[in-house]
Amino acid sequence: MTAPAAAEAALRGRVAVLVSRATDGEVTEEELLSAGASLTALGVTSLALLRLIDAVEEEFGIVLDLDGPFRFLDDLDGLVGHLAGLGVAADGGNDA
Amino acid sequence: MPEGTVTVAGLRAGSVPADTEPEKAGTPGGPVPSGACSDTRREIAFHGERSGRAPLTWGQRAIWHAIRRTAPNDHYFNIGRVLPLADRGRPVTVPEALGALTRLTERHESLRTRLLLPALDGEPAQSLADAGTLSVTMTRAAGLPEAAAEAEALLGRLSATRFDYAAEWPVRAALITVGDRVTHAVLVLCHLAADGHAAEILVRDLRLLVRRGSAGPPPATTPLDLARDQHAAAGRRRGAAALAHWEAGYRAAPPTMFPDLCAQPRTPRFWTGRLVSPALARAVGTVAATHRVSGSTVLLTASAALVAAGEGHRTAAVMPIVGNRTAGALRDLVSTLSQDGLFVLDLAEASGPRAASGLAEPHGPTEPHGPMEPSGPMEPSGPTEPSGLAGTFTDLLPAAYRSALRAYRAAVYDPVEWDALGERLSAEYGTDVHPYCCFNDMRLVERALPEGPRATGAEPAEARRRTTFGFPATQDRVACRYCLHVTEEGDALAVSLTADTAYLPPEAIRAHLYAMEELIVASAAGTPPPLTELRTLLVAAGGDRP
Repeated sequence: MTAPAAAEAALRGRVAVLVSRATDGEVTEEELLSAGASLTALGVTSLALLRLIDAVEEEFGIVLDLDGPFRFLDDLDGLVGHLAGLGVAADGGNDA
Repeated sequence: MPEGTVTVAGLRAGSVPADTEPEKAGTPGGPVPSGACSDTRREIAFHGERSGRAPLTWGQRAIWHAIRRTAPNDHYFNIGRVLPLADRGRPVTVPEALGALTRLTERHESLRTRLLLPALDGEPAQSLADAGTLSVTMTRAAGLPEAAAEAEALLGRLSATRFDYAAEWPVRAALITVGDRVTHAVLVLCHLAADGHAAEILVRDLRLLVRRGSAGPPPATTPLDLARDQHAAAGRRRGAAALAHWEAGYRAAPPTMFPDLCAQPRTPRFWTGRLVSPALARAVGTVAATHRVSGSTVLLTASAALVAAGEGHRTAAVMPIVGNRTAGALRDLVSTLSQDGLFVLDLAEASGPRAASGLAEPHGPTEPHGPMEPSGPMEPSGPTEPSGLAGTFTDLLPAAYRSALRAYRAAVYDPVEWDALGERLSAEYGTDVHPYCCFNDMRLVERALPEGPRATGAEPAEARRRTTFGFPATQDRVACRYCLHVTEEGDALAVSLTADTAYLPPEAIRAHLYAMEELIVASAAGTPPPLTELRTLLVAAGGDRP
């Protein structure tokens, strides 16, 4: 695995933990990592999404902009890609 | 609602005193409580870990402003709960119950915090005491049925007077006993110390302290620390971002939802209509599941669409009361965190063909605010059908869902700065800028729709025969024109609309609630009404109903 791919995989795992925690474990990391389904289809409620936004902002020290369509909350890979675009790394830092 | 609790008053964090719930005021046919004459007092001494002072949290400030606007009737903001203790488990003694109350007060700093009033005009602060004594009301009852009635009566008595915010502890407690056994604990809370969620946390913790002697690890944060965080730089930045959302939303919507007096006000001026509907409960669940949004969003969108249709607006602005408990550290905090949010929905844009296919977003609250023409004053006055409405009610839901998330994210701000924003825009527009339209989903948990086949065509009609409607309460003064409250009642949803009868006469209140039921039930049945027909629905709804 190349270094960027490994970094993205690590970030993907980290974000899956945060999503699962936001649902109080109702949606498991395994479900999130294996499924390509949308977060709402997996059972992530709007309350859990709000918790997730709080958790992601706190964990990575960023602000998620909800202006515009914010499709990045549609599925796990959308969120991971959005965070990677913001320069977020799995170790919690923001190298942007 | 968690096991064994009774809500005495529906309370919101905004500008409106609660509806009283008259059906809880008495127990027809039940045992007659003996009254205040049998009460005695016991003092408990508490010793918490620390004392301190801080500014008010923004949630406390919001309540304080609402209290000042409502005084001297501010006892409406009191929050009451009854915890039954004789229904299960081993008998509870008086020393055990008093010990649990002591530990509850030591555990939650909010219960040891009072207001520090400024000498002159200005914002009060909060003062946390480490130690003190709390007087607990003790009442004897002859048997269990009498004890239950006595608990309700005590709840009413302890809720009936305003708190002395600077001198009195923000909790009033009572125990009802039968023989040497405690059957009920009663808590009445000052809204500066707790909101509805916090009241449930207190009831849960009191039950655990009585039953197990412990309520687990201490809460992750405290009102004092929260206040310091909010008033620090990062908190101020977050508050400013929230108010930027408000300003953009205000500019995208008409200055107010109910601009025109349309009737002689009744006396008392404010009437509460209440619709209780099992069919609505089921339909909300069906629409939410089908469109992958929350039931709360379905109801909020219905409220916005009907208000806009009734008043001839293209864009609706509704203020949902937001719990503000999504951050992990705040979930178990006993404090008052709820604040108003601003939900803005441009019906034409949200329901247009591009929006329905997911290609467009409402620009109202999302546009970066800058030099923009205020759209409000440009709207024609008087209810007319706005042009450009296409699609049906359910076409609104994807855009409404995103707008609701934005509203929920922008509900933590300094009420002093919020007031200043409203004043600045009102001066700029030359008219009052405030939606005067609020929405409070008071359900603590939204139950998922039970598994099973979807409703058939005949089922909703059958279920709707169980719908009831009435006008249970009136009030002289409410600082809003339209206040929608949602609660659960068994398998039904109870939707209350408290409105200013000069803008929404009683017959309009009734029609609005029946129209909401019709709108959502029809949507659940797969025939969502076109937006152009909502005005007709408001005129016709409920015509042949009880």
